[in-house]
Amino acid sequence: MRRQGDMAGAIEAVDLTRRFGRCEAVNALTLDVPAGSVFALIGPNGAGKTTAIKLLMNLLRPVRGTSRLLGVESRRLGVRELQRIGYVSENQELPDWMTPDQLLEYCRPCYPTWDRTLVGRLQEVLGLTARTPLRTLSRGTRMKAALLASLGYRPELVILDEPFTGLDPLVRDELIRALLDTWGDRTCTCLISSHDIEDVERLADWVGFLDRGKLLFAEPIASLLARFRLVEIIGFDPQQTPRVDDRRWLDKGVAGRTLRFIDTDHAAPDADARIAAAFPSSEIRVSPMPLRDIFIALARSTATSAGTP
Amino acid sequence: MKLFSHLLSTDARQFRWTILAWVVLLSAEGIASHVLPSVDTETRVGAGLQLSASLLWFTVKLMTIVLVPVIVQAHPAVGTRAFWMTRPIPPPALVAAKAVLVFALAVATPGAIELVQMRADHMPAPEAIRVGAQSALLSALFVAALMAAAAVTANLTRFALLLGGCVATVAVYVVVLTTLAAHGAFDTVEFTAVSVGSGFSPPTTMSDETKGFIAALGAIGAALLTVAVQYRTRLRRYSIPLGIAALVLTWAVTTYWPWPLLRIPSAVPVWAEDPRRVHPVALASDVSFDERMQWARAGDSWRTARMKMHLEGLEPGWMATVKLTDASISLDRGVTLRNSMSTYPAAVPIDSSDEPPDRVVARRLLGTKRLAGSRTPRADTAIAFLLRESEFDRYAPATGTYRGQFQIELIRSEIVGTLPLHIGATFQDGAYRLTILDVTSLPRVGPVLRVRLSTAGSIFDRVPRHFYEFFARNRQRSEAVAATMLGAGDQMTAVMGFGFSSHGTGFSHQGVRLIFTPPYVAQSEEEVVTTDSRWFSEAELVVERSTPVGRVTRSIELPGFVLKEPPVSERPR
Repeated sequence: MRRQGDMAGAIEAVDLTRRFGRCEAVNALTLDVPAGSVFALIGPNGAGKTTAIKLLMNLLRPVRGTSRLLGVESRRLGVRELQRIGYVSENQELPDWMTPDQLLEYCRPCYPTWDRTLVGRLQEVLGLTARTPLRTLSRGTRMKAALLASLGYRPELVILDEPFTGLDPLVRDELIRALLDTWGDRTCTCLISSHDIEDVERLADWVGFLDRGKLLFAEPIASLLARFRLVEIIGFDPQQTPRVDDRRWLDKGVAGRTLRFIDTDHAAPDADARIAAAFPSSEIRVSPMPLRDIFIALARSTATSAGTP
Repeated sequence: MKLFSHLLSTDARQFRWTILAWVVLLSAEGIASHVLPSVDTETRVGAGLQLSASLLWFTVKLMTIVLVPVIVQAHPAVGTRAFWMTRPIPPPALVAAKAVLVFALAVATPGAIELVQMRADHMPAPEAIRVGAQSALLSALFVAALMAAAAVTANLTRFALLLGGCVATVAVYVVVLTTLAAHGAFDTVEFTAVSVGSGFSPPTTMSDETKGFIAALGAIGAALLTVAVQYRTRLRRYSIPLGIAALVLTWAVTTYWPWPLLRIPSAVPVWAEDPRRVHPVALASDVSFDERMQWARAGDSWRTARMKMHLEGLEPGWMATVKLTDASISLDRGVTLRNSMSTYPAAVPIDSSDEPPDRVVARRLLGTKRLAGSRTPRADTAIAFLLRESEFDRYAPATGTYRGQFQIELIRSEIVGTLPLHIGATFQDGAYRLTILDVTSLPRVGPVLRVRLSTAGSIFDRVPRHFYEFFARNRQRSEAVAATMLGAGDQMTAVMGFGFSSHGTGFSHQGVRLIFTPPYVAQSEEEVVTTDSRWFSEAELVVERSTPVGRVTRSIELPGFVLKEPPVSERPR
């Protein structure tokens, strides 16, 4: 797993900023999505994920900053680049007079690398057999058709903007299977945005957290899971240990004689020693955290402070 | 190219039912408008067909306005949610596919139907093709403007709002302009000319339409540029200013365009070039100013001097109109007043006659002793000077020398057809065709000919336009009655104020009625013709063709001119 900047990024953004009136939807976004990674851009609703993706895709123009996709500046994305990029968005307007087959036929001549075999296999995986216009189909089926139309040419970069929003778990699973099936052992970069980490934790190996237009952090999920630990101090006596003010500890709370907090830097070699030193006469229990709990904690802490954990 | 045809066929498939409905609608409208001129609209069936044809015409126009944005906005160039924006679809291919489909539907299809109509009406092929080109140009202008409006709006609602806003802006502009003009803010020729016009409009040579043609091409280019830039950049802050810049460039090019490509060549005969032969004649006493305009506001009104002018030296079969182009009055006290405005043309009498020249010419051509005309019995007086009321008040009364320069437009008239007053009789002269459909008689009106009149002409013809008049002639009695045509209309189109005039051009097929009742009381013995059914049973329909062939300029100098209020008895009419 690589850290930011380890290799040339498939997506690079520097100081990307976009305002709508007085609202800064994206604020100085600097992002580097490594090639071959599956990058989950997570954040609450209204965090600026869709705007950021539209800036990357040149659907919106930034007021400041630049971005590059597959080495090409977003503002210069042309036919050649778009033939290597797949894009699916929950708010995209599909040509809904077409049936799924017609949509695929519509897209096919645009892509020299269109793979009929792959499309056929994905149709099976997705169970996409509808023969009626997209406007008559369910949201899930429409999303399947859109995804299929974005994977059938084996893109080098796939950008998925909230693809799973409003979908039932079964459809979500089918879409994920389709994505995994497409990639196989081939190198492909994917940027996937969601407001819920559960949607993407099976896919992503990198994660970035966007809140109020700002990217608070971006790092490999393995690193994140290693860093965050739930710490319980049993037999905690506030009179004996009045100072619990380490900035690396989030969500501090006391229940009876138990103090709980989340240590955000537990991957450090001295983490256990540091905690033991702070609570010398207490029993310390440290347990790993699921990704979802990490994000809830992060979201809660950033709601009260814009500081990076 | 492959992608272009793919996009085109995709759009055609998407709108297949709309296209089918459109073609059916156009065909129905074409059939209705073709059949209508042959139907008596005063019958119940005819009135129903007329109503249907009007509704179909209106629907076609409305559907054109809807069809264009619907096709264009299937791939909107505004917003961030359109599917095509994230696909490797080259904007030029997309714009080309849209343009081809839209132009095929809204320009080529109606054009093809019009061509079929023209051929069905026996219009000659060359004229039909040129008219088709003119119609295509005008349709393309309209469609390109709609495409531009559709490209810079995201949906039909916003398109309608934009269109409504444009119409409202034009309406406000016209109201403001009219209000300012009414309060004397402009000294424009048009307003003055309209205010003094008598309503009589003799045939004139069509002006050179090159500028209008260039303006139309430029405006189409500007609209398509707006569409192309909008699809390429998806930014209205680029596409709209560029479109406006292209329009401004078009305006500049048109204004200074030096080559009169579409000018109709002059065919002035040699005898008419001689100023000693063809010249205006008038005395100083023949010029008088009219009264103060009562309706005009003080300080912004004008006085019109009219001249009882005669033209001498015209060959038989010729008449002319006279139009002031420049004039001055050098007062004895050393002041020179200048006329800077041009005016409308007037058909002044020929030689010593006081009759309208067209009547004199027609009577000579028809070879009859009596002719009951269809127009005012008085000949025109030429406008000799336009003077501000304030200047008139300042200098009158005064004496001096009047000098005027006039443009004399020569018109050749000839008899080109004679046909019996029977159903089915047909007259055709090039792209002008008249067929008698019905002959009836009405009390106090006399015979009424219901005819089908088809004409085709365009700005690309580059030949003088002909004007036709019809007479019922009774050779045995040596009498003739001019026909009045009821139900004919004209069209006018303006492109960026350059007067792309379709007056008398385009394809027209209409049912009109010819009646032979003079609209005024005869003023002289030569005008008195008493008709009855027997008179008409012996009569024939004679077609007179008048052709403006060109212009010559003549000057006139009148020493002893008096600038004064007209005596009541001498006030010109």
